[in-house]
Amino acid sequence: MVNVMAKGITKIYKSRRKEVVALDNVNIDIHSGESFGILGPSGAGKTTFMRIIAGLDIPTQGELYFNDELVATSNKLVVPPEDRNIGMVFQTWALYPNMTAYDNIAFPLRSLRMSKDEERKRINEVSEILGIAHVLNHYPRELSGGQQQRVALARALVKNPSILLLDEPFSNLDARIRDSARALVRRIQNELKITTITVSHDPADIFSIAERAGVIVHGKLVQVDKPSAIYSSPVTVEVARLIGDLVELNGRVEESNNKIYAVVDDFTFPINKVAANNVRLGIRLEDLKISDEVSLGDEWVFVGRARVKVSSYSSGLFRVTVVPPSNDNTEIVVMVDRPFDVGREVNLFVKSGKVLVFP
Amino acid sequence: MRIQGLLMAIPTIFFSFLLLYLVIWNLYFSFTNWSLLNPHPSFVGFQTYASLLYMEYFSISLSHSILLSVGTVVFGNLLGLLFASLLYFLGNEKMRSIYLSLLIYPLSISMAANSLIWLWLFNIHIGINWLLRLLHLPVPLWLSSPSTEFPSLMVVVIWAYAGLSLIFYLAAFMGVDKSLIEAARIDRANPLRILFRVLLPNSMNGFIVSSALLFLFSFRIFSPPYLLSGGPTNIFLQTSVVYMYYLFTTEYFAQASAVATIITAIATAVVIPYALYGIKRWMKHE
Repeated sequence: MVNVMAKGITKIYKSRRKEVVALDNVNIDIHSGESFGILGPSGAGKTTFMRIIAGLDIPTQGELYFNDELVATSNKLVVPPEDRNIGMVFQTWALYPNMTAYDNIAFPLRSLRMSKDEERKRINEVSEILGIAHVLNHYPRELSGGQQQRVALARALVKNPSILLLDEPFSNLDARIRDSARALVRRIQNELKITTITVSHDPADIFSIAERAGVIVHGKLVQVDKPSAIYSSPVTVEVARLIGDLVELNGRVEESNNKIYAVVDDFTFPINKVAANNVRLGIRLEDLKISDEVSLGDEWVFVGRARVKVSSYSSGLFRVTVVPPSNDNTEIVVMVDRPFDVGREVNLFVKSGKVLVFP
Repeated sequence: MRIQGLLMAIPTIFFSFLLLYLVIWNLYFSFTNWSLLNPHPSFVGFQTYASLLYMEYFSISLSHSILLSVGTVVFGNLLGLLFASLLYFLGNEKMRSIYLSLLIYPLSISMAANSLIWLWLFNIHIGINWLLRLLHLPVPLWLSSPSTEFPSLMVVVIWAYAGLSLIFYLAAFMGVDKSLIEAARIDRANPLRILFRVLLPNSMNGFIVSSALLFLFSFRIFSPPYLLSGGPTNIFLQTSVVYMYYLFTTEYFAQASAVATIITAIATAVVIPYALYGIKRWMKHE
């Protein structure tokens, strides 16, 4: 298996008078056999990074190594894509519409000049694993989205690649089959131990597939860690927003009884010591609660009285928007298991130690 | 909304009816015996058509037209395909536009000018033969020999229209999803394999439209056979359209109309369904 190392990878697109920096000095070491996720908003450069790994784009600066072998350097393709032994699943699957699923999967093998028996054996093997053995005679247009994706995955895997690249692999799937597709990819990655790089804007993909993830914002790699670690301690508010839903507030730092608080209108959020006078707060939806009770135990800290502004519903939970009594515009979204009447006053709690503070 | 649609269609309706009127007018005279000898035409049914069938010139010129069209469709497509593939795999965007302009340049020159240029190039003393002689290669007689006359005409027409085919193939290639090509590259397919297994099978629209237009344009071509032969009476280069013109200038009006009707019928029968099918497919594809 292959480890991928990027050293100072920079990609600049030049048009007439404008220069667009798609990637800015990206350094990363993706271990052999690891499942790595790259998270970022659209247009942040994550797809460019994947294309550079595949050899479809050339870095403007920097060096890219596979197992200490230089494959690309400043404006130069040392090893072309066809010699990198890469399996790639494109966002649109990129299945050849003029070929059956079987011929699609056989396409990479035919470049290898393999015997027909060996070819058939390998295709049967991979389509058995992916559950597409019964649709091999169909054309891509006759397949469902999930089947097309699995054919694309089979085509990427059948040549035993050293690196598997997945570009937004689930964004074109129906929401209800995404999780089973994610589980399948994860299982196969686990079994085959292929170095896998998944690019996505959807944190759900990263959580379900990646052992480690990097976050690219505005062309810069800003954080590399386990997905759960990025979720609980993001370095910037953008990263926090990318990897999960977040309530964002602006607070004034105050100290009383040797404790530090961030004050937002009528609410006081307990925070750790910071140097600034004004801070940006981020709180995960699951770390907020509203209740009629005065106390919810040691884990939950009372923040203040709040008024219910909107009460709606979202995937199994009631989504209640509350505001402080004195300011109707400071909206805080809380997920609860029962609806609350609009206009009612409730107690707002936050899980202790879970308020994220950004300068 | 309906009224707006109707208003928009008025120019189309007007010109369609004008065209239809001329076709029917022509059709009417093909059923008469109007000629220099018959200044007061009368209706004779299919008699004029029947008389054409007995004329050797008619069948010879029609076979020339068909041969020219088939040759142009076959070789025009092959050349267009070759040029389009070369341009497609040319990495440099700037060089691609330069070569493209060069290759489609013949389309922008009037066919009469094209023919005059080739008339000089085919001159056995100064044109292509001057170069061939310098290289000590055999020198064909081009337009000066009955056996090479017609192939020379085909060369001119194919040269002029290969660019048309090129444009449609290149457009079709460009319309093929880029990621298909990238997927094929990652799967170690060489350019030839990408061309024949991925690009071409997904560019059938380009083939259909290119073939239809090549047929249409070469079947109704007039200037090259007329100019290269030095007049409408050269039996070796006479096409149906030239023959029609010859009949008209010698005031066999009914026979000229009959030839025109036959040309229109063949072109309509071959091209219209083909072109419509191709355009429909293309639009559905988008």
